Amino acid sequence: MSRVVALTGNQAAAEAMRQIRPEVCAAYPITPSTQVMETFAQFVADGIVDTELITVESEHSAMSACVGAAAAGGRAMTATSSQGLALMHEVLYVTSGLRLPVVMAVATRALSAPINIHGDHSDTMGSRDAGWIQLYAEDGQEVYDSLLQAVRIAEHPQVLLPVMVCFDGFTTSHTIERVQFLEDAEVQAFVGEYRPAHPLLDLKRPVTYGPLVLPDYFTEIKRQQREAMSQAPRVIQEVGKAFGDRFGRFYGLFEASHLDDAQVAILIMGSAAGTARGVVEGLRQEGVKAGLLKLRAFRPFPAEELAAALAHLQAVAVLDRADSPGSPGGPLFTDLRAALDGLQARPAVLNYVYGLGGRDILPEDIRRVYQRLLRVAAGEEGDTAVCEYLTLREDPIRLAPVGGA
Amino acid sequence: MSGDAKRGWRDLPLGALILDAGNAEGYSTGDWRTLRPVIDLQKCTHCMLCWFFCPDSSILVQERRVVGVDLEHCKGCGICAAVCPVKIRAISMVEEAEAVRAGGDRE
Amino acid sequence: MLPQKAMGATTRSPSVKELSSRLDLLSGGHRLCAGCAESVVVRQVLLAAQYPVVVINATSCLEVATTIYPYTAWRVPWLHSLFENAAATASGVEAAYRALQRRGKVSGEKVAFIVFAGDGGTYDIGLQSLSGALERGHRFLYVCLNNEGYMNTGIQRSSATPLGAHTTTTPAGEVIPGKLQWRKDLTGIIAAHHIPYVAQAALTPQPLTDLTTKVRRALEADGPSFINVYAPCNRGWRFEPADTIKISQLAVETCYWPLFEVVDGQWRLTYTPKEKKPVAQWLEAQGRFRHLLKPGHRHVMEEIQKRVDGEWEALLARTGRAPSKKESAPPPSELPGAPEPAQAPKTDAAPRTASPPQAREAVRADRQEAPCSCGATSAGPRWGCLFCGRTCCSRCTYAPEGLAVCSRCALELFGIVQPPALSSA
Repeated sequence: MSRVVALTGNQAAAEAMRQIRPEVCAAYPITPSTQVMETFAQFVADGIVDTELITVESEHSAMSACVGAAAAGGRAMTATSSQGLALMHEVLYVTSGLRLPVVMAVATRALSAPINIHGDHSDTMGSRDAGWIQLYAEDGQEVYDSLLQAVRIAEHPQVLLPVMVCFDGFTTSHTIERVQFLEDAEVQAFVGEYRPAHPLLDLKRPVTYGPLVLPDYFTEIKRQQREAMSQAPRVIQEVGKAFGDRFGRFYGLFEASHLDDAQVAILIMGSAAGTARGVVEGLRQEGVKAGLLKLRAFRPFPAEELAAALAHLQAVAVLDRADSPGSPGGPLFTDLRAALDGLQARPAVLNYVYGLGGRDILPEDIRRVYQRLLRVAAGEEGDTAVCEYLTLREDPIRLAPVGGA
Repeated sequence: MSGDAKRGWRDLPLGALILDAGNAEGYSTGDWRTLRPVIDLQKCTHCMLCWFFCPDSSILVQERRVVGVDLEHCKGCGICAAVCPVKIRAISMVEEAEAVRAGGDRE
Repeated sequence: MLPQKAMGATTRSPSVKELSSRLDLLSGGHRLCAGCAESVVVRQVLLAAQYPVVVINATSCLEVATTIYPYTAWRVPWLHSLFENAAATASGVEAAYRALQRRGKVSGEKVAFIVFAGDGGTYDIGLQSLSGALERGHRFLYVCLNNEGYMNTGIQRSSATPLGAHTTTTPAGEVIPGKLQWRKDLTGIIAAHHIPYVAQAALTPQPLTDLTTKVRRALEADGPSFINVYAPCNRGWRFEPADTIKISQLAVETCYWPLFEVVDGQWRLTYTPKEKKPVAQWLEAQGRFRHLLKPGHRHVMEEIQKRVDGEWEALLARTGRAPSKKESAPPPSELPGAPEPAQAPKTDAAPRTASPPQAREAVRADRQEAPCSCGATSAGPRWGCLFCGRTCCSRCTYAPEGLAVCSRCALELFGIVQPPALSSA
């Protein structure tokens, strides 16, 4: 049957790719995702997988090669982080605009400047408008499981959008965890055959991909993409349920802990959700009605589902692992606020930015958030929407002598 | 584009793919012309140079002989007349307005 | 990567007559400018291709004008993604093709992947992805449509733009006479990648099937191939649309744009002008150099001539030819089995302009004693070929419908290879 292995998130991603057996993979190294393609390259060299591996000369070319391969009619995958994701930014829009079901693993990392190689969500947040589905994984198991599901989600006829599976740089990409792998045959049965509707290589029915579209048609093509994104939540849930039915691990748009009867909660994505879950368990034992919502699908943003899940709370803190300077708060915060906008009764919403550039977040930091939430819920504190940087060092206030230097 | 209502977003192939290869043939560029090539088929040696150098696939050939000009697409650039060997000069460029007046849209 | 070879170095293009019975894979109804060279190049490339073709096209005049939604002029599978990544995109298509073939998901028939990109998307922004794709050895033919500028955005300079040319980002002004840099030697850079087949080509009646021959050879290569094709832009270079082919021919005759190929690292010319024309003739034919005719800018014209001469001499040396200024025998024919080019008399070279019937007789008499282009030295009548003008004799002249055509043109135009049957006149 299946086997349990101790390995890093990057290695788990590579194993998923091996079992998916795409026709083409493109590889360009960048910390902290490099080991995904290194591991995969060894599989290729050992003849364990027969994928065509293209060792491209930049991430822009990595995604371009994936576009070519997917248009040709094959499955195409790659992995990247940070600057690499930023460099391929324009190509992301081409992938989604041409409705190509490429799947990519992203070990999230801060964007320069300052240059920093550690994990935060600024890179993937920077791509949130590119028309890609974004699934965030908490740990190695979720990386593996989500990549397998991503293929089915992307290729679904009512979706046909590329998918990126995002996991925290170093924390998830490099930490060794237990991951349960499926059998090769099980994975192949789950992902099935790729049947592209209009492959470039169908010489009998020549197709033109990527024409110039003028103002008279452009809006219509974009509307198609929005439609696909609005079908995506349903498809993500269907595939997550199918995965669970077959393999025992169920997935959806998000995962709630102790939320039903909670008064206050945190909304968070990625590995820090694990830390938060531990804090919630502790608070519950102290009788605090604390809850947690770990968001998995950031794009599409499941606005209705989140509003329904959070409406009964008195206060919720959104923890963003990226900021959007000049915007009312971080990206997760502003999307949630928009989602709650239609509710009659709604919780107060706080915003914290945490973990930038790989800054650790500790249980006591999260505990402080809950303590503030409780004060806000009790009316002891205003629910200021000012975005606060968790664990920020402030300089002590210096008092300048009057009339002196 | 006469008479074609533009399709809505639900009807169009996804991602703006064009599935009808070569349908640009249905788009007329003949109205770009201010000069029209006139081929004297008596002088023509069917060397095919005009066909070989036409940017708009507008020299009509049948069974290895030049038979005419595709007036729906010919833009009147004059390359055909220029490449016709000087000792043959089977093609002359005529003012489009005059050619139309002289009787016709088509050769 | 395993060593790659250019097979089929003796492969030849079918004659123009033969090509004329094939379906044009680029339809009319595209919206390139009247007289644009690009669609001529594309038509010839697609007509020449001996395998089914899939095209990958960079953002360019060609791409936008041939695919204005919902119309496409392409009768082959066609993919456009971005400006600078045509070679990377093609790498993905080609790799998927290999994988799909290996897995039995597509048929085993050979497909030719052809990339079309402008000089912008090749010399400049696209150079990185092209270099990477060539280094990896993907099997595609990359055709650069070199119109010496970013024409689609309204005539801006690229690194392919000639010295002294006016463009909107290198305008000829009071102080600066146009572009200040010499063009980048991209074909040389590509040759330095040591791919099986590299060539420079143009749209010329002389030689006529040079481009189509190069396409065939390129597509036989077991690895990447590259052809840099000269594509004059009448809007950007400022000349009449009808003169596109004339301008191409002039570029070749002045040795500004030599025609050569590099086959497995061996450089060879595929055409030597009988008479190397001064670059000024080519410059004067284009409005983008008009300012260079002013007295104060003569030095730029001289610089251009000097550099063209230098590059031509270097190319001759590289291809093992004697330098043109020496009084030596003309180079051997570039076409197998075709007659040698004429050794025109130095002082009164026969003009290749319109010749009314009386003059034709005169030409015939004049050439009586000259050796024929096929090498025959015996006395006898000579004719001037109807198409190329070179001297031919009864041994090597064809006379379809009473007109004289030399062996080489007969081969290129009509595909005729049998010896002529002319009665001696």
